[in-house]
Amino acid sequence: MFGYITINGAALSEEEKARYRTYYCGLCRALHKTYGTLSRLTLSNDMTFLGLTLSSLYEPSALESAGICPVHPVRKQGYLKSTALDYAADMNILLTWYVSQDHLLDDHSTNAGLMIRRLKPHYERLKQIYPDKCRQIETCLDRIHVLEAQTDVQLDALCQLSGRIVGEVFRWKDDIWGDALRCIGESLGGFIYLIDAMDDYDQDQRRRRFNPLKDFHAQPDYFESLKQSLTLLAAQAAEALESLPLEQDVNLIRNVVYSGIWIRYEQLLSKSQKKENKQ
Amino acid sequence: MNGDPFQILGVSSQATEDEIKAAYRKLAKKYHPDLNPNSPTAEAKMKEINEAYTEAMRIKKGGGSMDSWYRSQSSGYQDSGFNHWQYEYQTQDSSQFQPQFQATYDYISTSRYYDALQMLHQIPEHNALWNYLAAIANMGLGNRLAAANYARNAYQMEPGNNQYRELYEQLSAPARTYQQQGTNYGYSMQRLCNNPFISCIAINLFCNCFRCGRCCC
Repeated sequence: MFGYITINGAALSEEEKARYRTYYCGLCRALHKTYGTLSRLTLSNDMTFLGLTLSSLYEPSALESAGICPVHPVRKQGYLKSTALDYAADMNILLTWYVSQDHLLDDHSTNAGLMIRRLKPHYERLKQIYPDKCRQIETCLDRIHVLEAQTDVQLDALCQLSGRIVGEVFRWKDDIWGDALRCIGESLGGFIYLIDAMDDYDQDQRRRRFNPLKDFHAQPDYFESLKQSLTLLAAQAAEALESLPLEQDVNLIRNVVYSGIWIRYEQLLSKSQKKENKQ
Repeated sequence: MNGDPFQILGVSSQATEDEIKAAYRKLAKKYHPDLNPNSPTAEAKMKEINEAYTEAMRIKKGGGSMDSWYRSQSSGYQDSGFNHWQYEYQTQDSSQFQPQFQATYDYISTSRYYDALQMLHQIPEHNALWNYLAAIANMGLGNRLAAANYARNAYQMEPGNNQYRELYEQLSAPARTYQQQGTNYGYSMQRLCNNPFISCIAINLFCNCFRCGRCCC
């Protein structure tokens, strides 16, 4: 999918990185189990974070084992198996389906077309399991398409709608934690929407595609004002996370929310500064 | 919920948030549905400690209901109220005052934020007052990001104006808390800024072991 919601490996110990990897590999294996080998290509850090957070919150019984796989044919890799990771795998496929639909609509990409053909039966199945989530997500996507077709960009509304999609994904169960999880998802979803728009800006210009930052890009404080918006969204996610009784792997979760999510922003900023220095 | 939430969790009412979380975890492990399948007693107990936890955290956070907090996060500022908004345009410098500003004030005072924004669009010059009003109107519409940006503009254009400074500080308070919290956990934004490449290379190496980048997604 996007992969912006990730760890800052430089600030983690070897053990902590290995621990994160057990979730990452666990999600990969959960994908393989339900959706077949090729679905492993859709593996994302964003949904690893979902699996990590839900595991910490609900502490479902988790099986830890190790094994080889096509990517690691020699050295055994540790991985986790739990209902939280199975759910994250479902959401990984569901979001990949919607993102591929979006790509197909945007630029008739062949990759997206192939992906959609492969994912179609899985989507039909997921729609049976999560009818409410799918309906909500599709309503948001329809409204996003309407807003993106308008001349004046309503950035807040677009961020909120994208956020609601991820909010639906984060709200695993309708229980006492549902609201906090939805709030985390909504904030991170808005964050992803903004950072993805920054990331794709040049490409969108070249291909004459819609980009929600088109009115802002020329402003001298482009990076500064986006940082302010991103920080507001990150702060909202962090506050909701801190309200939850998270103990297990909370250092990994905080590493993502206070540091890892900023990596792409920093890369884009230093890239633009280099370009400026050259001129 | 019946009873004192702190008592149910087995902590004193002076306990820190971390202590409340730890106490909750200990009890949650004991009554976890995975360990007590088909046990109505464990289920009821789990419900009780879930509610006690939420209530205890609510008290620690200063009283307000968490439910309404989550809702206010997604629906904008309606719940938190416009404690900032003061109807004191008489004190504004009359030289920058235009009839459209008067109309904008009137719309905002009657909660017609969309009309207020439309009115602002008719004013070609975007001075500090314009940005301030745009911030308030966007707050009313629940546009948190736009509101914060306009408030910053207003403050930067006229740093001496108390009203602009107050609004900017109010809207950027969550961001400051977040950055402080991050620093407390050892994650300094500054450090990430200073050596972005070290962390980026590390993360890319780490991720590339597993996937072929963004192309396949």
